[in-house]
Amino acid sequence: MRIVRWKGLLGFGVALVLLALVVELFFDTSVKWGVESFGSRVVGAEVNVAKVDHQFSPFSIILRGLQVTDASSPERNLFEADELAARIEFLPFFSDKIIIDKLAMTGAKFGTERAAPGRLYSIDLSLKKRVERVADSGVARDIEARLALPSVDELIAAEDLQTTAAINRVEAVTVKYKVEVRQAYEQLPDEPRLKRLAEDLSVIRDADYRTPAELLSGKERLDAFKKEVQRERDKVAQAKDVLLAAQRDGRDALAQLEAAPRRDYDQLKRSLTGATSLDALTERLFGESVRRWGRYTLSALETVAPLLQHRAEQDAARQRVLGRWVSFSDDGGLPSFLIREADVDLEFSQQHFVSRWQDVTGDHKALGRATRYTLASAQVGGDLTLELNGRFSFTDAGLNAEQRWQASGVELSDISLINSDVLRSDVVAAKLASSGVLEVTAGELDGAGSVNLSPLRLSSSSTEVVGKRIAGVVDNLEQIKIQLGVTGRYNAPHISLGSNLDEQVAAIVAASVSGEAKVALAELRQKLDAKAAGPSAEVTTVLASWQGLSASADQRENILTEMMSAKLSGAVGGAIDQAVDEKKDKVKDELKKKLFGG
Amino acid sequence: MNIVAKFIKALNSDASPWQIAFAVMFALIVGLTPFWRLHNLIILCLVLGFRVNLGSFLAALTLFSGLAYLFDPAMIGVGEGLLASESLQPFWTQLYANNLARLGQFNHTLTLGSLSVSLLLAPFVLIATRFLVGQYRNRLRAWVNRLRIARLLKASGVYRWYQALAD
Repeated sequence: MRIVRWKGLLGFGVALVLLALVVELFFDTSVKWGVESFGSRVVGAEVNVAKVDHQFSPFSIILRGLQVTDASSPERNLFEADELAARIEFLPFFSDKIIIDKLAMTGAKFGTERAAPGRLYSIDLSLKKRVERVADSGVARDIEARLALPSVDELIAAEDLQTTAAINRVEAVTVKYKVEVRQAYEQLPDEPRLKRLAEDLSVIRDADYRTPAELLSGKERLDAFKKEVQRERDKVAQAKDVLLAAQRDGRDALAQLEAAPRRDYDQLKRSLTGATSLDALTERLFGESVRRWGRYTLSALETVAPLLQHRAEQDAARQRVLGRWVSFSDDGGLPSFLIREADVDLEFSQQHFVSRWQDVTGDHKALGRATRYTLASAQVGGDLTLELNGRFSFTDAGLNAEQRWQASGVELSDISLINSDVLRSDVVAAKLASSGVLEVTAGELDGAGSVNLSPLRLSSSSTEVVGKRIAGVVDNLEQIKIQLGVTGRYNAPHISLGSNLDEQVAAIVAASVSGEAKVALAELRQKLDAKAAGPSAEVTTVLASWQGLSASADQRENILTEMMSAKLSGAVGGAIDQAVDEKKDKVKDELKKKLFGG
Repeated sequence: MNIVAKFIKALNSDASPWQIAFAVMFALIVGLTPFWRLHNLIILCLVLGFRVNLGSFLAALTLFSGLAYLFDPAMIGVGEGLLASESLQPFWTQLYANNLARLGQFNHTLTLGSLSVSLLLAPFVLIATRFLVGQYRNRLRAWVNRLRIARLLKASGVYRWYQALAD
């Protein structure tokens, strides 16, 4: 029997050749399909690659015409690149690692229009988008509702008035102390009691004490009397404490009640004149745009980092089940995914920028270094300057990162800021400067920065009365400085905005109150005063009565204090003097007898 | 079913017991180790290029691939132990520097663990299978064929269907 099966060997050889042919013929297609399907899964929206080229030595893949749909706006691309070329190390493939030596991206742009809307794949993301749309329409409705002037009664009923709170406080103080004051006052010595005490004192004090024994007895009676008086004084002191507290709290409550209508008036005046519709105007006008710009600067942390971490976590989970790869070289354990160096040439707002990345990975523990990145303007000369640099690394505690940016001379034009039925505002032209610092510790963002738009030219319009007033004020802005605050988780940053625009505009609008509003303001003033008048009069009466009680308590305390200082009267002194004189006379008589006889 | 039928047919055929034994041994290695590995390509070449019984190979491959799921954690442990062994570090480092060895993916814990265990078991499986096939053919085949149930089965449509599939 022959050992070798020639047909089998031939079949094996043919299979190998066919396999090589299939790889060569379909490699580009499979890479294209792989990038599109993996990218779509990760982004939750359609990813397209126009063409893929490859070469085996050195092993490299070139993606041309890469487009990533913006999941929140499928008509636009989140990101687009003309060409993405990656030079990949071959051997690490056999250790299930993707190590890209050099990645170069050219013609990268953000927010470009798509030829056709991209498909959305993630149900969660499309839901999120729907929620955002509802929220947007809510903001528009909110503006419209605010621009409609409310009636005085609606305002008084709807607003959380300080007057109402002050009335409640006055009532609470009155109810509380009415009981306490009554109880304390009932403990005070009344008129008959004081009269009886005065009579008792008179008896003790005015008695004729002729002998020391009588004197001693009188003194004991006086001490006992004083103890009784002291007990009455203590009761008076307690009552006075209660009365003092009641008067103090009552006066405070009354002062608040007197001030509250004025404060409410000031607050409601803003609503009545439409000034509150201008609250957070910075947010309404610049919020969306500034946040979008902010998100671009945070995209390294918000988008790239989570993708890398996701892959690193998947690899760790896979290795637990399917075994891990052990390295025996000086490079230590290379991460399962690493881009050693990446150059990105990108275009934003008709300006060219260059971004450089080093050690891009989600497994920084394995690599031992953080991912570093920079972004700078590619323009030579001109006003535009941009410097952004940052680093991030994943640790056991989460993402740690820092990023600084400094930009100036960024030209902006024809940008829609707000486009609702009641107000439309566009940036005709502006020059943007921005700087800031951001730190991420265990995934928590803490950052601050500023956006300065100067010079600024806006064009606004409205069909509403107050809207027109806002439009007029806004169009007069020549510059604005917006403070940025960045908080939240790194993959869901919250950017807050603030500026002095709101106060400026509110003051201008409040100063130009219409005739209709003036009538309403007078009515408002009258209604607020009327609301406070009743409780105010009541607490004033109560305070007056407490004051009367307090005076009465003082009077009684004085009487009792006087009683406490009482002493036994002259009769006592006369008895002692008499006893001393008698003794002296007796001694004199005895002395005469001894000296002169008789 | 087709594979089982082929295996039964091979047992009852004139195929050499060694052909079946080698088939089971190779299937052991391919089945227990991760499939897409260089050593499996070589084994596949051997199985196709030499007169190894294909039916037995495929049947045993199915069996060992199933068993591999159960033993993977233990195999990973063996691989971890070998790759972490201090005394073997110079050897692994030298091997790692060799590109061809890297293609063999020896530095994967599951690959090294399962390959080591299967290579260790291979001679025993080879001899045991050879012995068992011989014993079956000498002692059991005639007895099994004489069994009433076997005759009934052979006469049934099911057996003919198996035969048709096996052919």
